[in-house]
Amino acid sequence: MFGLKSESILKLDEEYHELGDYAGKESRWCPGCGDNAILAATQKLCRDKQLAPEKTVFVSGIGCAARFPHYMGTYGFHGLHGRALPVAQGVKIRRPDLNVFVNMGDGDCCSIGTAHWIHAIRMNMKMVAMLHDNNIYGLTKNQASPTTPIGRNTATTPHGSLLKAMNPLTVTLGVTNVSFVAQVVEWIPDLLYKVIEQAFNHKGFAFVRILQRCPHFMPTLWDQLLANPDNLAVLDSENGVQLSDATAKVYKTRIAHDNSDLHAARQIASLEDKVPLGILYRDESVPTYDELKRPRRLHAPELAEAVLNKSFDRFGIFPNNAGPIGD
Amino acid sequence: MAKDSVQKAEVAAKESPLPAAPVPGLPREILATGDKSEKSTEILRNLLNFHLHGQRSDASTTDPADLWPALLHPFRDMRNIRYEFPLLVASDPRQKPVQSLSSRIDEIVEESGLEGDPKERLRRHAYQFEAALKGALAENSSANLTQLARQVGDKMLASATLEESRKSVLSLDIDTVLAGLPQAAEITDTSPDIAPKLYRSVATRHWAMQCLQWQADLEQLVHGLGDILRSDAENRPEARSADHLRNVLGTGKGEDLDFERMSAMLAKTRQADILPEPRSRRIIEALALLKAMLPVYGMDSELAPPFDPALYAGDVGEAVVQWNLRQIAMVEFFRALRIAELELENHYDPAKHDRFFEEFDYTHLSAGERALCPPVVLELSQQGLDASAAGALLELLDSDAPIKVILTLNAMDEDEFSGSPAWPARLAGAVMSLGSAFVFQGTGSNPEALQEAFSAGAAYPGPALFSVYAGTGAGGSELPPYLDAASALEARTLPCYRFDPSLGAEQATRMVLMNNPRPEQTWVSDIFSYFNAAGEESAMELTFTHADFLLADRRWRKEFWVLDHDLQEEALLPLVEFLALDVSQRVNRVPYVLAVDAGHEIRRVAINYRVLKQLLSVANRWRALQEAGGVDNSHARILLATERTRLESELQAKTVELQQQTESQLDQNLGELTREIVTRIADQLISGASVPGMPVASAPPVRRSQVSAPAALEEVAAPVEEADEDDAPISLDEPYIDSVLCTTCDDCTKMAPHIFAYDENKQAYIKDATSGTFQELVLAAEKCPVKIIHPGKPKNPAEKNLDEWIARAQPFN
Repeated sequence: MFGLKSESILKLDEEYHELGDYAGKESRWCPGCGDNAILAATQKLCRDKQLAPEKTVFVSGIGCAARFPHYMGTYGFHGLHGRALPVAQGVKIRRPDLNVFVNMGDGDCCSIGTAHWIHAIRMNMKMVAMLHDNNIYGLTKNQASPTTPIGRNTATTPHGSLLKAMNPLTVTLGVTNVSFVAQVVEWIPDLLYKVIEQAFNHKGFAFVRILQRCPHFMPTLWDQLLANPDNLAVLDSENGVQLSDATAKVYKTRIAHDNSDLHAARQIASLEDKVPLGILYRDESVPTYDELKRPRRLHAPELAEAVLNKSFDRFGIFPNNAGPIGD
Repeated sequence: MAKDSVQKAEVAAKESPLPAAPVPGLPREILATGDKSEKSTEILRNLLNFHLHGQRSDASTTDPADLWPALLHPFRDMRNIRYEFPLLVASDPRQKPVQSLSSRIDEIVEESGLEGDPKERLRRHAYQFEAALKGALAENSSANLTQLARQVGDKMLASATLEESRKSVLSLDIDTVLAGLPQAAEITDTSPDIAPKLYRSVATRHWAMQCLQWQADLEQLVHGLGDILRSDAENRPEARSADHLRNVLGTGKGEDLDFERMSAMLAKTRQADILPEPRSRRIIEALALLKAMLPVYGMDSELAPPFDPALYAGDVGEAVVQWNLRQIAMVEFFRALRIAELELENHYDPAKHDRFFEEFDYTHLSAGERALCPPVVLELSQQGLDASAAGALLELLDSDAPIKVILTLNAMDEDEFSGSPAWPARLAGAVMSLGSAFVFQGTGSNPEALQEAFSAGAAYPGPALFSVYAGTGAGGSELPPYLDAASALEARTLPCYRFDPSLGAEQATRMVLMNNPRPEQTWVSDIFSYFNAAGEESAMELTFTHADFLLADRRWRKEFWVLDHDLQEEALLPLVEFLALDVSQRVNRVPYVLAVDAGHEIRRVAINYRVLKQLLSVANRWRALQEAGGVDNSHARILLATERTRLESELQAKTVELQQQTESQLDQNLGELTREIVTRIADQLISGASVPGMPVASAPPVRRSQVSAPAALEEVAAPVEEADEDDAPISLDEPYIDSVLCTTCDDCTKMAPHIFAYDENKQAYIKDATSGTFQELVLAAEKCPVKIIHPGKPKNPAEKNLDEWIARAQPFN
């Protein structure tokens, strides 16, 4: 408001938040779990952007990944299975001033939460949605999720899973109003950080699928990729992410890509022989629901109460011909 | 004088199929008898006396009444001339705030979508309507447009003596015109108070827009603070009383609920934190101050504002009082606003903020906040500005107070000390030289310029002065107000300019001379048509000066002397010729200007030294303005001349140099050619074998690459070596981690926290390799999912099974 924001009035108020300020409880994820890498990258982003911890919310559903808010030193909401997105949308519509992040596992997002996922893409509200995709339900001990590879033996598919795994990228890219889709693996910290940063900078709903290791139940899942970094193809585009020299030396495969081209993004998302990494699609011009729906005046409890009372009075029965309260 | 538009209007009037307006007849030149008598010598002496001392000997003779400057004669009848007035002043903020009736009528005709005859018919009817509307307005200077227009339309229809079919067409056309006129507007003719009237209209609109943008922000703050107080009230022990619970839940259920018991039960539950007393006091105080100011920003409030924003000050003292009052109120308001913003985020820290807010005053307000202080509007007339008030006014205009001064000028009084125009007319120039206030000077004849200046000045975050000559009104000038104001502009008496310090630090961007006819000239001249003494139509070029402007003002009439037709003296000179003379040559000469009297006779009018003195002062001031406005700027001219000389001399030097070069080259070439020819002839003579055209044998050129080969090899080799070094696997005995590639998976830090730790980016490094065994290092390296731990060589040769661990470490080193 006219540069009068309380933060800018007095420089005395300026506080610097260190990485530790964004740390919550000590992580109880297994050693070697990819969630730790995502947590570290996110905390780093918060520090580098100096997000006010009291203005930042992490929302999650149920699963290993859903423990994320506990380990952040910000506000958080550990909700119901599959319902992280609607909760996050509620937070955003009521408090547009907050930075909203959503952490979902592959079961959380792609199975029970699918309906919310589809509509969250279409509504395109400003938030970063991270899909921690380790291809398995870890918290419920080795159950098949929609992204579990075909033939995989799990607790729920003892003879091997029967269906081909779902591709969350092509699903997301198929929904109306999609505005930001990226894929990354958690074991390239440089790329992970930069993709999450771009997602945070995006104006609308930023969907980031993070391929993640589960050392306990899927210890060999990504061996092919770990052993042959050439199978990871970094998307090379002008406004995409630029790798640091150290990372670029290890990961040499590149695919030239224009991330404003939805059709090309869909083709790349469907690649079977290579795993594309980076920003597949970005469109800053898609309208966001939180802006379209932004209330023109602040929600005032007394106004809401007056309106509610008026409506209730139409149905109220008043004993002894007494009028409604306040009359 | 905006003569352009008047002329255009004349043309339009001629083109229009209206009955021809009574065009004033051309003035006549009267032939002098040419007798040089003693009497005329006597008169000349008197004239010289008058010119030098201002005394008229023939005070008994009365000058012809209704004397107009010659160039203004064609405009004697303004009735059928279409010009900037009357004005339509819209009260609806979505419409153009101010527009002339003529231009709106033209727009209506153009927007009608008609073509050909119907369009011309509509135009004719619209012009008739316009003239009728002007006539109706003449009785009072302003009126409600819709009402007046309807009356005029009805009257036109009623008085039209046409056959039915044509009458219905007229009726339709009038309806078109009426529909095209803005609703909810005022129609106003030019008047001495046109400047304050227009300013109010423009500024009210500007303020409304300003408020609109931030009403929502203000409302949010008020609601936010209210929310805090309300939720605090619900947390207090009083909120658990039976009475409060009954009020909240309502009595609809009668006594079904036992509120006493409910209250007792709730009293046992955990008490929520309540606001500390200083904080709630701060919030309550801030909220009250914010709410009280809501009406100033066009919002409802149950509290009365600390001042009336719609109050206009009529003199400088009143403005100072008003400003002091507002300043206090605005400082309190913005202090409350800032406290409110801090409180909303719970960032108010008494240790940090109490002192700051104790000392908070007007100087602390930001530019944005200052723009939100409703300006004090001071409406002044020239007569209300005496010397002491003027001093106070200068102080105000040099401060950063948002004070807008509309100074209406209505006379060119003479300053008793200098003979220059009295200083209200010079105030704008003086304030411009201060450099901090927005300044506009102009005349009431150009409402568009006024409107633009008013909206820029209203938006200017600081003081503004609008100095406007709106005509003298009744009693002063012979001319109608519009012509009076327009001729002040034409005569350079009050040039139009704008000085806006918000446009940058440079004079060239801040200062604009605008709307002045022929700004590159000192005076403006125009063609004057008349019947010469022989009765033939004739024309000459006449210059319009400040003297012509003063001639029209009755208060200055005694400084002019209308000469007899018969007086023919060489000592009499037209003013322009007189001004062109050296001061020494002006002795014994009397300048005159041309005027036309009511009988359409051209008269020569002699002027005295007072007029001349003010005229020279006006010319000086105009020259200074030209310089300031970048017209024929003397600094630029000098610089230009210097640069031109420099460039020309450089060019000449260059030319000479080139010429010399060419010549010497030519000489050299000639010499070489001669030498070669001589050598060839000599060679052929010596060898005897003549092969014409064969080149003279010479040693094969030494190849540069051969000479520098070893150096080149070195050059190539060096980077290769470097690259090797760069790519070579780092083989060190010390253990290390590629920390930038670490994925923070917690493996190593959980396995051997005494060896491994996280850095400030939460990536692992070896904190202390000696605190653990080599075996631990190798196990961690094997476990690391991204294989970035390099165990190096064992430190302790006594460690068990060292050979096995060294072998297992091999792949990671």
